[in-house]
Amino acid sequence: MIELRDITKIYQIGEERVHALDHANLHVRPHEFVSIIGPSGSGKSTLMNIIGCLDVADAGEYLLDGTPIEDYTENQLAEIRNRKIGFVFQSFNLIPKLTAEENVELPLIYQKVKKSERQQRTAEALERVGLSNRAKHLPTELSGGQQQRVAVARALVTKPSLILADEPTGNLDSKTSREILQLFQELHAQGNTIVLITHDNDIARQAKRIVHILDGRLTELTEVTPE
Amino acid sequence: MTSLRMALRSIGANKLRAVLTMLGIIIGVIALVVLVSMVDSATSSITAEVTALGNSQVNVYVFEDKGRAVKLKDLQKWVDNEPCIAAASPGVEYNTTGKHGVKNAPFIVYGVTQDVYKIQSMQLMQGRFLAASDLENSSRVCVVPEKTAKDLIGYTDCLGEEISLDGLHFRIVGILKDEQESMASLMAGNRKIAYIPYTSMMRLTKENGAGIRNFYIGAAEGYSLKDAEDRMNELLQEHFKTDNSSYDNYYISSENYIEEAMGRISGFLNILLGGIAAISLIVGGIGIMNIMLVTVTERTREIGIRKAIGASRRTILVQFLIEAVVLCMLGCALGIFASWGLLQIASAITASASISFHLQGKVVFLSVLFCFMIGVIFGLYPANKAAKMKPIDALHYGG
Repeated sequence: MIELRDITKIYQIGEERVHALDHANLHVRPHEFVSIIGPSGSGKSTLMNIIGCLDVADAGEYLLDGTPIEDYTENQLAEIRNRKIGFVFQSFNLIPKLTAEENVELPLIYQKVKKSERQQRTAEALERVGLSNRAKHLPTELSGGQQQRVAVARALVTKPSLILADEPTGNLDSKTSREILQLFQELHAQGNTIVLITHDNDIARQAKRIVHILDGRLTELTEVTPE
Repeated sequence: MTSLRMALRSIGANKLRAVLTMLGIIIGVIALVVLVSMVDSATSSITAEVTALGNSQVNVYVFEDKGRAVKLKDLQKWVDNEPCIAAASPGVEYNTTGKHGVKNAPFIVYGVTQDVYKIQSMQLMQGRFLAASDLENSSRVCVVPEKTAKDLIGYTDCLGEEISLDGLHFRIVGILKDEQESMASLMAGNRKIAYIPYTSMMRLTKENGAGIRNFYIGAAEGYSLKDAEDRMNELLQEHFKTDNSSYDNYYISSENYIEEAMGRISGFLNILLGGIAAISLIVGGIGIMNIMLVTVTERTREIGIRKAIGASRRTILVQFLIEAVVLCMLGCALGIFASWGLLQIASAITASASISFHLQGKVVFLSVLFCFMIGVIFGLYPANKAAKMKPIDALHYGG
């Protein structure tokens, strides 16, 4: 599924070279639910960008579904993001002038899926997150929890290999957070592969497997159920 | 379709800004469409009035008659048989000196038939024009323009006075209004002008029996000068028993000085005004580019989101390009609509002057094409800027 081998990413900040990732190794198997936990500045955003194909590593090898991705062009990376990865961000990142429905539909438009199929799959995804009755609403007309559900629906609609969540509950109150995490649990139970990035131990414990990141290095903390 | 809807929605999200941005294009289009349409309409109105007065003729010069001289009866036959030829007259010129009493002046004398009056749309001030009987009898009569009468005789009311040409006396039977023979007077320069019967001219120049070397024909109503010219060409080929390949024994041309001059003037004006309008359209285009750059910066985050969920560079480029083009085309449509309104108003105002202004299809087409090009050209840079954004930078822009 995901195979990171000696991934290194270096940022030049002024005179100083910062190792955001220092020979990071990670293996995520299909249908796994993995939490990556680390304090801010530990390199977890960089890791998320690389796993999410938003950025490429300076050194090392990254295999996604068995395909090495470091040599891809920007357009090929866009297509990989489109087909294989579903993003859920801390700040929801919905497009404000599109309705819930249209936001969910967007990745399918980029896949050039036929309109009838798009509508059907969009409806299914919204149904899945329990927001069918809110389909025609704009993001500003939805609560934070509802917006994040729309974002999850958008991540789901393409049936991606991997759902990548970056602090998905960071902007939510604890009750809504629990609902969102419950949703992730359900998605995992249905066979989705999920990588959840957080700085919060309680949230990280939702996953069966927790990986710790500090100063760009990854360490396995627990492996509850070896597969 | 989807991208068009998205573009319209993005534009609609900020209507005031969109309208202000489009204003440049709107004004540019109005400038182009209204000015060019006005010049065209005014020109065609004036040209129509002028051509209604005539002054358009086909000239034929015979260099070599191949033993088949063109005679008066040939001209008469063509006028009678050909529906497109309304009139024909020889146009033989003869330079001599004219005398009246003790005064004399250089003259250009035209040997013509009564038909020339119609062909060259002459207008009489006094008396009569040459008549068929004058030609039959080779009468020594002449018709002179007002200016000639004034200059040589000293006053215009001079019917019955005689002018001596090469010692032969010609009685003045008609005076022509000056302005109606301006083309002839242009050719005459300082010389005085007199029209005499063609037959009398033959006697004057002692060329009795020779063929007509130069004649004019006028097109009948409902036929263009070109029709008459083409038919005349066929008739002459028949007459001389030549075909198109041996085109060297005569020369045929149609003269429509005024139309040509008007065409040149309006063409020049159109280029001038079109140029001014093009400049204002380009200024409008710069406005579009400016606002698109602002839009791209404002929507950096949206671009980041779109890229994260799989929009390629091309998709983003096309999205913003369509937005710029749609903005331009909307401006163009509004501009054309406003132009139509303005032209209606202008027509209403000038209705009494019998000039009506119409929206010219070709200018509308031209402005649509031009606006589209401006949209593409000035939209390309901002769209490319959007397309080149890195997804991570764009996502984290402004928090």
